[in-house]
Amino acid sequence: MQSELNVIADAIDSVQEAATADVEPTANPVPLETYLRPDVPVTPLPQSEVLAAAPATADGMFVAPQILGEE
Amino acid sequence: MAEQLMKYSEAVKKFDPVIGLETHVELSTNTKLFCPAPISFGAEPNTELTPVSLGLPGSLPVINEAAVDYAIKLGLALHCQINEWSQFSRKNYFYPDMPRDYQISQYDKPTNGEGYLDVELEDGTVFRVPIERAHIEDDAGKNTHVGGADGRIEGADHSLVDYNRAGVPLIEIVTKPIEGAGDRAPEIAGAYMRAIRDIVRALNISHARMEQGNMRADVNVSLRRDPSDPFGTRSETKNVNSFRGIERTIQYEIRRQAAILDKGGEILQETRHWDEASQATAGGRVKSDADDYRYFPDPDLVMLHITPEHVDEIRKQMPEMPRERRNRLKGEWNFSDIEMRDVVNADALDLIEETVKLGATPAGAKKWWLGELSREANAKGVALEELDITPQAVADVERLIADGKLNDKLAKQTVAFVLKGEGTPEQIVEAHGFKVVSDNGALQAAVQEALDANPDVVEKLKGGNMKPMGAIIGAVMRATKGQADAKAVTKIVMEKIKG
Amino acid sequence: MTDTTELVKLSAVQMAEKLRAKEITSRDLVSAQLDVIDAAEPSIKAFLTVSGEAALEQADAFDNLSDSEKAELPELAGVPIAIKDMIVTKGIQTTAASRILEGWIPPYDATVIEKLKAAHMPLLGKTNLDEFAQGSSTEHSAYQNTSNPWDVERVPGGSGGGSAAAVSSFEAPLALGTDTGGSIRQPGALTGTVGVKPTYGGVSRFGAIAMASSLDQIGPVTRTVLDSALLQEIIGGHDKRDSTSIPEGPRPMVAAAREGQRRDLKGLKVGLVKELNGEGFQPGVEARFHEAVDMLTAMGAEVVEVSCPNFKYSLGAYYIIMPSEVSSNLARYDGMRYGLRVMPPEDVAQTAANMMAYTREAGFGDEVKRRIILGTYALSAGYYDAWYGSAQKVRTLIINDFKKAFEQADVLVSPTSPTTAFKFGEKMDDPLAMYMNDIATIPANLAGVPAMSIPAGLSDDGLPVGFQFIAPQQRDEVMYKPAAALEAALEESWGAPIWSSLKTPWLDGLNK
Repeated sequence: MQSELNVIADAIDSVQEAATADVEPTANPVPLETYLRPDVPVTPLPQSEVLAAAPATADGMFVAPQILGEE
Repeated sequence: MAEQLMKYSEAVKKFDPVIGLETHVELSTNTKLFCPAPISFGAEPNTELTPVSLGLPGSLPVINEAAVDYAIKLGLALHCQINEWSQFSRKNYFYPDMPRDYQISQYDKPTNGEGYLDVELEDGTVFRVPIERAHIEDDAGKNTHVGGADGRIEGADHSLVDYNRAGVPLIEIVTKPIEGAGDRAPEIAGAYMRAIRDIVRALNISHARMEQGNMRADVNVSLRRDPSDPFGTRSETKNVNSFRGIERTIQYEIRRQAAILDKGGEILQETRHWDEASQATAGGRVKSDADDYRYFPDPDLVMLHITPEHVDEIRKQMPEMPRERRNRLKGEWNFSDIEMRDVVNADALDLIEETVKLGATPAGAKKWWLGELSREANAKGVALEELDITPQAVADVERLIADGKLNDKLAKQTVAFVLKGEGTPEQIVEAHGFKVVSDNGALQAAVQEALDANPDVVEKLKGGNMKPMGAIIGAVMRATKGQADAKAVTKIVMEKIKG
Repeated sequence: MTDTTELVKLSAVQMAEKLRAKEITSRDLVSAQLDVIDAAEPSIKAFLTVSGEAALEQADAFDNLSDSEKAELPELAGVPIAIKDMIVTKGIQTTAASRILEGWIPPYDATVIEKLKAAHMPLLGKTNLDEFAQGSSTEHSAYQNTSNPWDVERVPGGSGGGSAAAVSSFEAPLALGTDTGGSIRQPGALTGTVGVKPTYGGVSRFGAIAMASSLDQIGPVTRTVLDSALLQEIIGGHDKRDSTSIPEGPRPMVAAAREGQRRDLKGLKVGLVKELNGEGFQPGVEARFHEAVDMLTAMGAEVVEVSCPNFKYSLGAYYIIMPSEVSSNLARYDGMRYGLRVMPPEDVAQTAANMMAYTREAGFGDEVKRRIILGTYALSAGYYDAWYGSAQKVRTLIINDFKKAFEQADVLVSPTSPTTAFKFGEKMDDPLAMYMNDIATIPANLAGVPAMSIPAGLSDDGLPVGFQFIAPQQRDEVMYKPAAALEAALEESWGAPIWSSLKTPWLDGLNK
């Protein structure tokens, strides 16, 4: 996989030559201001649907294997 | 295990502490930051989720208008630069309580930029805390660790995850390095946190209950020999969730780091946590280059535009800030500095103000909320405002006293019945037949009876010894089931003795 | 009643006309399509899930509506449609062709699915794709290879090979795709179908499983230009659940397509993008392209050459932005909430972190892993400015190139793909050759402009060639007019639609 990555890396190195300091970056192609949502609640998903696809559950919660260290 | 600590007074003599606080405030919006899932305290696990807050494939975030307005309010209160254009970025890291495995936060373009907060210390000194930013982000879910001791992560065998909290809006207020605090660093941090708490409550943007996790802080501490030296290596103590915890964390870290540095040791740049039981911070993860959150602008959210007009509109709706309000009320109520501090420390300011508005005298209102009711709240382990009594009820009791319809003793009984949920003061007075017996014949008769039963006391009173007066009053009270007015009794006794 | 083979070869508009004339029912249409799916799937393998029962119920619901209720619905009401398995469908398994989502039944519908349901268009099932839409041949599906109906030894293109093959083979008259770098248009070119990538933000992405959020767009896959216009008007428009959705209704695309069918292009300026043809393009592809350009001229269009000098950086910018967003968007597949969970072997610590690692190792294919690694690298602290930051600047340059080009021309044209359909395995070991497939389609995604591919005839190898139109942002109707005109002119020159040349052994014996 490493050699394949190198090929792609070569292809994208050229980007840096074009990106001069005077060019503004574009994050979203269509210039929009964000739409703000009113603070009105909707009916949430029922717990059964929330948990339906979970690999492991207990007491209405998702089961995670042992967690080492807090963030 | 026990770490070497230097005496605090010695540590702050030898070193100059620099502190920094990153305070997370949970906003009290109706819905989450990026989806309209409802937010409530104590809901069944995993029942407050939409596809967005559960991080389902295909779901997209849409920003809650109220959360942005709340952030602007806080920004104004902290004298922040409100940026016309701000942006949300993704903070990428894997953790089981993160539904998307990235947090949506603000990185290089926060809504609120630089500002400051003036905090008042115990002795009235005002200290200016410089603010770096106050940005908007969403919270993660909650893990419950199972199989270890006391629900601690150490030794747990697995964890249960409730994502209800995932997506709840937070504002993270980041201070600049706070310099010049010296030995008062812990006090300044505590006063700052209380000031933030008071502000967000005044703005009505958060419940701001530390014990419920509405507010928590990461506490950074570093030491240097001299204020002209560059900053030392800092420790970061995560998620401290009480005012005292924050003060103690700083005290402890100053003592711990001073002991290490004094011996020529080096401080590790690490995250620690405050352990309430041992009153100490414990080492956690050493920060390394691997902690790269790969921030980039969230492509699902376009730029947030806050017009100066909108900021002006919000500015017009800003309530009076707590410090200004305290000063104003102190003058209006004619309280001393110490009295006012007691009121603030007891969290009784709002309650007293409301009670006074409803007709009570400031002194009367203070007497109830800081006396009888504070004791009751302490005994029950609840906040003053959580007691089953309203400012209206307290004001009513005060009015009944002023009208001479209750004496002190009956008033206390009335309040006790209100706390038990028996109704309004009027209803209780009516139901229990409380009546102050003052100048009627019954009282005259009761006094005579008491005097007749205690000839030795009568002798002493006649001889000018007033000490046994209490015995007569007590007897009259018993006879009238507490409805006698003590002043009236004394007056009648004196008349009878002289007569 | 019309024969099944005749019925399924109708365009969606023609099907809708027969529904309105009460010559057929929606159930007839769905049954006929399900028969074709049964017959074609052994050789084509376009579908991952066929939702026949539900489709028949939806058809009956439409058939039971009163005439006045039907009159309120969009023109294509009652006509069935297939959905790329990258789009979330409530109650129907949605996998993104990945093992990591195997068996996932979503509890919600994408906005486009809600709109199709509101239009009473039965959902035939979910079509195959490259895993998480990452690829240009559909060979990266974790489940199956889809064949090109024109030559079952060849790929149908990708990532939306399933939708394109389903429409091309008459399994479905309509389909939805998603296009991040050409995933609708390139399969359209390779299968002789019409594929449209709308303006970014023109169609809601809510419920489209994210690959690269700033590039992804849902769009129509059909056999005619008019069908695409009708479908895009149904699925398009503002959605308050998508912050990148344009706060306006769909453009008048149907009117533009109908106008185009009159084949009068006087006053239209067509820009030939210098950088998007010539070197690296198959001679047969070049020949069909230039013949088509001549036809545009013959219909009155003025053809000018335009230059977009920064397009040469687009492949590089794309292969920074796309994997960066992929690496973040695909983080959520961690074995916690849905989909696959693989615990570590016994001699490895049974921790959450290890579970996530083993789940992702087992659940993702090589191409997806390759892009996650690349994206993780491109976003890392020391490289962000040089990589992601630079790519975003290139995006600005490409948008500016388009702006300048659209000052000289109303619509831009190029071949859609440098080559016709290639054989299975031919480019699997050469990612760069695979990536070159999208060289002509990527600039439109980077700039958010609308683009579409229509069939331009067959190359020397007898395989379809695609012709690409590109229009300015939020002006999707501008490309529909010349596309419909060219389609009509080409069909007249061939004497029949392109699919009349397609051999369809799977349809033999279907008429009872």
